[in-house]
This record gives sequence, C-alpha cells and structure tokens, in this order.
Amino acid sequence: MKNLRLKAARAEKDLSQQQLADIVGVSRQTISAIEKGNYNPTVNLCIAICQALGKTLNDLFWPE
Amino acid sequence: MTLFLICALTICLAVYFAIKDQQNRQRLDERQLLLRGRGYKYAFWTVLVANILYSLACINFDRPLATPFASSLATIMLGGTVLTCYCIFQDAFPVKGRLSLAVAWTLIFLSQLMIQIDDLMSGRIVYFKNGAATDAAVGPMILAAYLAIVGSLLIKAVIDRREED
Repeated sequence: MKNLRLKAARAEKDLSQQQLADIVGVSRQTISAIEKGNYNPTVNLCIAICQALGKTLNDLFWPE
Repeated sequence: MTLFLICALTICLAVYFAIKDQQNRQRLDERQLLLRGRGYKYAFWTVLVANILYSLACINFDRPLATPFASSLATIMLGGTVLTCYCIFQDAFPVKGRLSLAVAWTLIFLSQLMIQIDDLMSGRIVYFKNGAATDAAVGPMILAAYLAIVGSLLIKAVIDRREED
C-alpha cells in the first residue's frame, strides 16, 4: 500500500527523495520504496523520517 | 610449502573480505542489507540447481560436458553474477563510489574482451575438445558474466533516470 502521507509530508517540507534520504542516512531508493509501499521500514528508520519531517509516527505510519 | 601458502593466502583473503564487508555494512542501509541477504539466498540456490542440472546432463550424456575446473568455476560464476545483478537491480550496493565501481567493471570487461579477441585471432585456444568444454572456455564465461553485470548497470542507470522523484 502506497504511503501517500509520507510523500505529502515530504512535499510540504519541499524536500526531494534524495534530500530526505541524505538527512536520514539511507539511499534514495529506500525512500522511494517506502513511499511506493514496497518496503516496511524498521521503527528506527520511521522515527528518523518523522524527526526529519517534523511529524509523528501516527501522522505518517499508523494505518488509517 | 605450497599448501601452507594456499592456506595463508586463503586466511588473508578471508580477513580482508571480512573487514571490507564490515565497512560495506556501515555504508548500506537496512533495506539494502535485507536485499543483499535475499540475493545470497538466490545465488546459493542458483549454484545448487546449476550443479544438479550439470550432474544430470553428465549422467544423461554418459560423459563430462566440461573439465572439472571449467564446470565448477562456471557454476560459482553463475551464482556470483546472479547475486551481483540482483543487488544492482534492487539497489543493494553502497551509494558512494557507484561511478568508480561501474568504471572498474567496464574496464575489467573491456580488458577481458581484448584478451579473448587476441586468443581467438591467434587461434591457439581450443574451447571444446571431444565435445567437452576445456579450461580455456572459462574466458568467454567470465566475459559473459561481466557483460551481464555491465549490462545490468546500464539498464539500472536508465531506470533510475526515468524514475520520478
């Protein structure tokens, strides 16, 4: 399932996938895979992404 | 003495690759490590199936289809190529130094290509003898493996460029 909330939050911060990837210390393809729903990140990576985007885990990763 | 040297070299290589692997692990993210592990599994099964198929073929033809050196190296190379291509397509290799990696593989491929062309032109190489691949047949196999790897790199570069952000 696609993670559109992550994509929207990233766009809100005006960050590219590469920029977000650099901030959280992963590859661009990993961010792309999370947004496409092809990869379930670990809690550590979820937290890092949330901190980078100024969101909570609920905002980005909790199923609606 | 020779046995001692082989053992020492093997241990040195094992230590070197263990250290290198540790460094690589620090450069790979969690998804890449996961996919690399999956790649090892596919490579292992590829080698296993290739060995079984080769054995069955030898039983069927009632003779070996290649020298022991050529057949064992071919199956190992097949596994290595599967692992490398899988890692390339799944983007499971370090982000930094990607261009230098591509250049290194292309250079190895081109040098191997030149060696093979030179061997073919000179006519001193026999790839098949009595219907079985000789040790010299390893050359074209290495060439094919590097062609697959370089091809994968090129295709992946095109895919990456097309992919939207």
